[in-house]
Amino acid sequence: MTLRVGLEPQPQLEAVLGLLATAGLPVAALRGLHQPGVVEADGVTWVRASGADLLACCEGGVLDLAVVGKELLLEHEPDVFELLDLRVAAARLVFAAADGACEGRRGRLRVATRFPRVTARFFAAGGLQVQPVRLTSAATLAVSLGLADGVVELDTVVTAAALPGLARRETVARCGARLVAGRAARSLRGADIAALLARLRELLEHR
Amino acid sequence: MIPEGMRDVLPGEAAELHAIETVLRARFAAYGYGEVRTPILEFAETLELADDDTLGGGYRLFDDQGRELMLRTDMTVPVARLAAARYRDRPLPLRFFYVGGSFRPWAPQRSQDGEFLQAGVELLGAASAEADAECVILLCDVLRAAGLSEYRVTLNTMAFPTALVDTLGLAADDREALLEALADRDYPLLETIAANSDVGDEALKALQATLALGGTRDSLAQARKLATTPAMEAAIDRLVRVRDLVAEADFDDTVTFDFGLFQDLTYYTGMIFEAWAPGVGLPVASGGRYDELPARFEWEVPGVGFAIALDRLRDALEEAECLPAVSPAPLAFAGGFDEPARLAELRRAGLAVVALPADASPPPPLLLRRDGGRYVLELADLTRVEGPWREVLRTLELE
Repeated sequence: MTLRVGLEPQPQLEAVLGLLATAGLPVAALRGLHQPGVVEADGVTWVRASGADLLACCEGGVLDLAVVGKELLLEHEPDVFELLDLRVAAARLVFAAADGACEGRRGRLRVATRFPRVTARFFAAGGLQVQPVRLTSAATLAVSLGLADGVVELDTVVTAAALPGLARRETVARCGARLVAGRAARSLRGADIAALLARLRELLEHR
Repeated sequence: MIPEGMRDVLPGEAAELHAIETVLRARFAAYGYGEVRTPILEFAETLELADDDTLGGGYRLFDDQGRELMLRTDMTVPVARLAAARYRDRPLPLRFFYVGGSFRPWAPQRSQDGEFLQAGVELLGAASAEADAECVILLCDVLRAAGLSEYRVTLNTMAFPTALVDTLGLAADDREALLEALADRDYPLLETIAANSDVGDEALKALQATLALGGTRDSLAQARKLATTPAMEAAIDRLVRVRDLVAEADFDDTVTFDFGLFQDLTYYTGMIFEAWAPGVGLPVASGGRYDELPARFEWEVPGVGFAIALDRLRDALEEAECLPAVSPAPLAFAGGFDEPARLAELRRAGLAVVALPADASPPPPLLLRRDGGRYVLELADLTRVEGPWREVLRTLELE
C-alpha cells in the first residue's frame, strides 16, 4: 500500500516540497496538481487540500502523513502525532490593531480571525475577554470595513500593504510547517514513517 | 427523533454485528472466560470511584428515592464492582467477558458516540507479564478469528514515560510541561522544553529516537538504551517478556511498540495497548493493566483487560471486504398465508420463509408460488430458477 501524504497549498509549498524531495519522496507529481485533489506516483499518494481538511483525513485514518501550519494545530487541536518542525514556512501568529483601537473601545474588543479558539485562549490568558469574529479568509479586510478592531493572523498575511496603519503587534504563537501523522498510521505504517522521519531529521541537522 | 449520538441499527447491519459477536464469544469462551451481564444503570458513586473525568461524566438520573444513578460509561468498572462483591473468596485468577453497550454524552469533536457497543475481557487476580501476554494474544486471536488480517496491536507501558521523565532531572514545572507535551503527542514542543532545560544532549537524543520509532518493532530495543534505572529496566523487561510470549503464540508480526502511546482513561497502571486496522481512524480495541482499580471496591487484586469497539470492528471488516456472511434473504411464499402446514414443512427443512398473500406485489426477488397443482420458484422477472432451493423443494416433493 502506498504512503498517503497530504500537503496544503501554502505560499511556502516549494520549500516543503524541496525538503521532501531531498528526503527521497517523488514530489514531481504533486507539482502538477493545482486544485485540491489526489495524485499517485512511485509509491506515494499525494493529497492536496486545505490544512484543516488534511487534519480531518489524518484523524479519519485515510491519510498517513501531512504537512500543515502549526497555527492549524493550535486552532483545531487534532488527535494526531506532531512529529517534526520542518523549519520552513516559519511565521508568527500575531495580534495586530491600529494604535489606540484597543484603548479607545469601551465594549468588548472585536478581533477578526481564522483562529477563534487560539484568539480566545490568548486574550483569556491575559485576563481580557474579546469577541472573536470568525472569518475564513478576509480577516484583514474586516478591520478596514469596521467589522473588527484588530486581527489575529500570520505576520506573513498581515503585511503593511494588507493592513495600512496597523501598528500594534503582539506575538500570539510561533508557527511553521509541521509534519504530522495520524494515530492509525502511527500503528499501521510505523516503520515507513520512522524511516522518513530519520531522513528528514538528518537533513535538518545538516542544514 | 432520537437523542444526538444515538442510532438505530437495521436488520442487515444487526445481522453482521450478531455474527461478529458470535465469533468473539466463542474465542473468549475458548480461553476460559465466562460471560457476565451487568445492569445498564449503576449508582453514580460506583462509577465515580474510578476517579476519571470520562467515566464519571455519564448520563445521570434519579431513582424514585432520589438516589443518583448513572448509565454505565464503560464495562471495566462494573465488572470490577461485580467481581469485588461476588467473587471475593474464590480462587484467583478470574476471567470474565462481556458484550454490551455503554453510554457517554455525545461529543462529536472527540468522536464519542452517545451509545457504543463493546465486547471485552477482564482477567482479575493475575499480576504477571504472562497475564498481560494472555490478553494481547487473545485480542490478536479474536481479531483474526473475526476476519481481520492487516491489523496491528501497539503496546506501551504506563510505567515507562513517568520513570523516564524522572531520570531527566527536570525542574517540577518542566517535568509537568514535558509530560503534557508527551501526552499531547507534540514532539517539537517536547524537544524545545528539553533543549531549554538542562537535559543532556544524549538523553534528549535517546528520547527523540525512541519516540521517532513509534509503531515499529525496533522501538523496544531503542527504549532499552534509555532505561537507566531499575524501574525502567523492569518495565522494558516485562514488555520483552510479553513480546516473546506473543511471538510464541504466532502473533509476532502483529505487535509493535509505541512509547508515545497514551490512553484517555486514567485507571491504567502498567501495560497499555491498542489495536488498529486500515481505514478506521480510531482504535478497533484498547486495553491495559489497571492494578489499582479493584482496590477502589476494597478488594486488592490486580487486573488487566481490553474492550473491542464492535462498530469499529465491523467498519474495519467492511473496509477489508471480509464482513461475515449473513443468512440469505428468506424465501418469499406467495399464497403461504393460506398454507400454514406447507410453511411449517419448509421451515422444518431449514428454510427461512416469509408468508405472503397469493397476489403479493411487487414480487420479491425469489418467489415461491403455486402454479396449478405444483409449486414453482420464480425470480422477480418471472424466469424460473434452478439451484439449491430447487433441490430442497424436490426433497419436499413440492415439485
